[in-house]
Amino acid sequence: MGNQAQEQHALVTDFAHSTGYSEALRTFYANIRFQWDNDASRPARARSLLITTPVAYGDYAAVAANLAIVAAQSGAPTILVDADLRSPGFAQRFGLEKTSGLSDLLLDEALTEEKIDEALQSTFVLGLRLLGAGTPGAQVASLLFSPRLEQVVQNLYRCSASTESKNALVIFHSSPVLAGADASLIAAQVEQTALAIIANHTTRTQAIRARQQLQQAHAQLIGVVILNQ
Amino acid sequence: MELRTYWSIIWRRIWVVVLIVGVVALYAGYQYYHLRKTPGALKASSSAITIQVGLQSTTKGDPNNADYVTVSEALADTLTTGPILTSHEFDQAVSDQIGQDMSLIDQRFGANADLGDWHNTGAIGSSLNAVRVHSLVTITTTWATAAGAWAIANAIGEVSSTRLGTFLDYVVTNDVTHASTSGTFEQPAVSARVISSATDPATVAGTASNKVALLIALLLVSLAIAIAVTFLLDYLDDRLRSKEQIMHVLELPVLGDIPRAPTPGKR
Repeated sequence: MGNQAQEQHALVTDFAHSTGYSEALRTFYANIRFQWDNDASRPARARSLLITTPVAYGDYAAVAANLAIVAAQSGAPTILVDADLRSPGFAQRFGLEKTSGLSDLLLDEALTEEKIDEALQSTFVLGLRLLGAGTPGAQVASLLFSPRLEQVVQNLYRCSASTESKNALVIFHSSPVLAGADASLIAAQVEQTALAIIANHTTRTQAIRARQQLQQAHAQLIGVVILNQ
Repeated sequence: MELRTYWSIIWRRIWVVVLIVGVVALYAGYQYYHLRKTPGALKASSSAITIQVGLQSTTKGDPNNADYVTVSEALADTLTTGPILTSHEFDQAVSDQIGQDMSLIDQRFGANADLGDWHNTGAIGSSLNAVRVHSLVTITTTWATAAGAWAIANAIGEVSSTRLGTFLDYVVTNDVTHASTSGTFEQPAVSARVISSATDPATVAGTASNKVALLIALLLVSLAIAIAVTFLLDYLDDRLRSKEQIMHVLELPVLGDIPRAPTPGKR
C-alpha cells in the first residue's frame, strides 16, 4: 500500500472502493477516455496527459497519482511521471526508493530506450509504473529545456504499451503553471493537458493566466478538474 | 442569479452577518435595557385639568360682555400657545404648590408616593401640553409616575385659579396707572377657575417609546447592511468556487469534480 505514515490521504487504494472520492476519480478517467474514443482517426498508441495547476495548494499531486491508479486498475498499462522536479514526492508516496529518474534521463547524453526502461519502477498497483523525479540537482530550473525531453516522452509511449494498446497511458505531473516554465515545457510535449482548479482557493486571475500560459505553449487543453480541498 | 446563488453568497459569509447584526443587537439591547430602567421612558402617566380663563369685573362694573368674551379667548390662547406654562416662574409656583399639597397626595396615593423629580421646574415645564376651546384650556401633564402626574395637574389648577393674573395680563392704553393685580381694579383682572379637576392618572406611551421602533429599525438596517457587505466581499473575492463559474471563466469543460479525500478506512 502507499506510504500512509507520510501521506495519510494520498492514494485511492487506501480508501474503500465505493467512496465518493474513488467514484469521482473513475468519472474523471472515464471523461478522459470518452475524448479518446471519439478520436477514431488517431493511430493506435499510448496516450499522454499532463495534469497541472495554476498555483500549488494542498495535496494537488494526489489527483495525478490517483488517476494513474484508477487507469491501471481499469486495465490500461500506465506510467506515472513525476515531472515536478522542484518538489518531487511520488517515490515516497508509493513507498519506493529514490533511484534515477526524469532528471537523470534529461542529463544523460547517451540516452537509450533501455535506460528509460530501467528508470521505470513497478508499483504495488498492477500495470502502473513510476518514473520518479530522479536525483535532485542544482539545474532543476533548466533541465526541462533539454531537447532530450521529447525523446524521453516518445520512448515512454513505447514503454507504456509493449503491445500496441490504444488504452495505454502516460500521466505527467508537473509543478504549477505559474511557478515557472516547467509545466508549459511538458505541456508542449504531451498530447493533452488538464488544468486542476482548487475550489475556493484558485483565483480567477490565476486560472486565466495559467490557461494563457499553456495556450502560448500550444498545449492541448482538454478541460478542468475541480479539486475540493 | 438565482435565489439559491444569492443564498449561497450570504451563507458563505454568514459570519459577517452574525458579526454586524450581533454588534448592533448588543447596542440595541443595551439601549432597550436603559429605556426599561428609566422611569417614564417607555410608559408614562398622564393627568389633565381643564380651566376656564376669564376676566373679573371691576368695582365700577363693565357692561360690555362681548369684549370680555373676546379678551378671555385671547388670554386663553396666550396661555395655551405662549411661554407661560414653560416659564420658570410658573413651574416654580407649581412645584411649590405640590409641596403644599403633600397631605392631599398622601391621602390619595398613600404615604411616600413616588412623585418623580417634582422639584425640577424644567421637567415640569416640558411635561405640559395645552389645548384650548374658546376660553377653556385643558392642560395635560405626562409624567414618569402616576402620583406625580396627578400632583402636577392638580397644582396647575390651584396655581391658575389663585394666581393666574401674576403670569397672564393685558394692557389698557392711555392709562399708565393701571394695575389689574393691584387691587384697585381700574380694569378687569385676569382670573381662572377649574372646570374639571385633575383626572385620574392614565398610562400612556412614554417620552422615549418611539425609540423602541427606532431600535427595531436599526436592527433591520444593520441586517440589510450586513447582507450588502457579504455581496460586496463576494464581488471583491476573486476565488473560483462553483463548477459553473469555472466553466464560464476558463471556457473549458469540467472533466472531474473530485471531493475532499475521506479518512482511510471510512466509506
